[in-house]
Amino acid sequence: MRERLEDRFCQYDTIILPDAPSWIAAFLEAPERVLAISLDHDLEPVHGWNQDPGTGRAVADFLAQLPTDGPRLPILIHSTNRVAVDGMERVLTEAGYPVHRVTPYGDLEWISEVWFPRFRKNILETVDAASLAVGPSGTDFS
Amino acid sequence: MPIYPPLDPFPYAQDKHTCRIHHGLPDGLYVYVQDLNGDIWVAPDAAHQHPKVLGGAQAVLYAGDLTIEQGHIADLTNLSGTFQYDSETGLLAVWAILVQQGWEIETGGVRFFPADGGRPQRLV
Repeated sequence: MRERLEDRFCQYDTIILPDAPSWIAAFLEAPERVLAISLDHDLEPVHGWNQDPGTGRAVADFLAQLPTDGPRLPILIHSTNRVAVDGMERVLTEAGYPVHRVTPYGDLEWISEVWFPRFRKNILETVDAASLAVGPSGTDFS
Repeated sequence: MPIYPPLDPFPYAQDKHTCRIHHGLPDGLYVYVQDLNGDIWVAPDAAHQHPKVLGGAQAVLYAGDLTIEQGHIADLTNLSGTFQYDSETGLLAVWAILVQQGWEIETGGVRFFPADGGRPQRLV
């Protein structure tokens, strides 16, 4: 993911965070700089770190309760956990986010074949999110 | 127009799927470059694909990516880490060539991404 984004969207920062608490903390530092978001559900424990990494659902719930005064950022969900993805999609959709999902397959070929084209399209669609105060940089996702 | 060499100077071989853009291309995401004669070449999207569209570390006039959907161009951008064009004029020139070639380009589909990481803009 990082390789694909940094090659095509080199003018933006790509931030990949392995756990929900870190993601939420990073988001709160500069929400106006976030250009696009892609969420996994099942987050692996970080080696050498004893805390629960949480799940993508925690991030979805966090995003859903944020106030808004205009169009929401499109959000991409990439996970093989279909039941969990259904829940994330529902909570985000009810909060007004356009939501797309891709299901990983194979080794990593799904990233180039389905994830990157969809995520790129989401970034292009942020042009339509008129109320976003997109700052000087920022492509954040976990 | 200014001429830009690829930032990655390795002389990659040309991608075997590279061709001049033409009607009848399958739907999908493509990277494109405009060669020094003004012709627009495309190759299917892939990782670090821009330097392989022409290959040989050739300089180009412009570069970006585009999506073909149902035979028309759904979006056209200046997105290329290899060439990093920061010229709205260059993107509009590519758009004009494609229109001249008979391509239908979605209204609002031409999006320019400033090199400073500023907000993307619709040009056409």
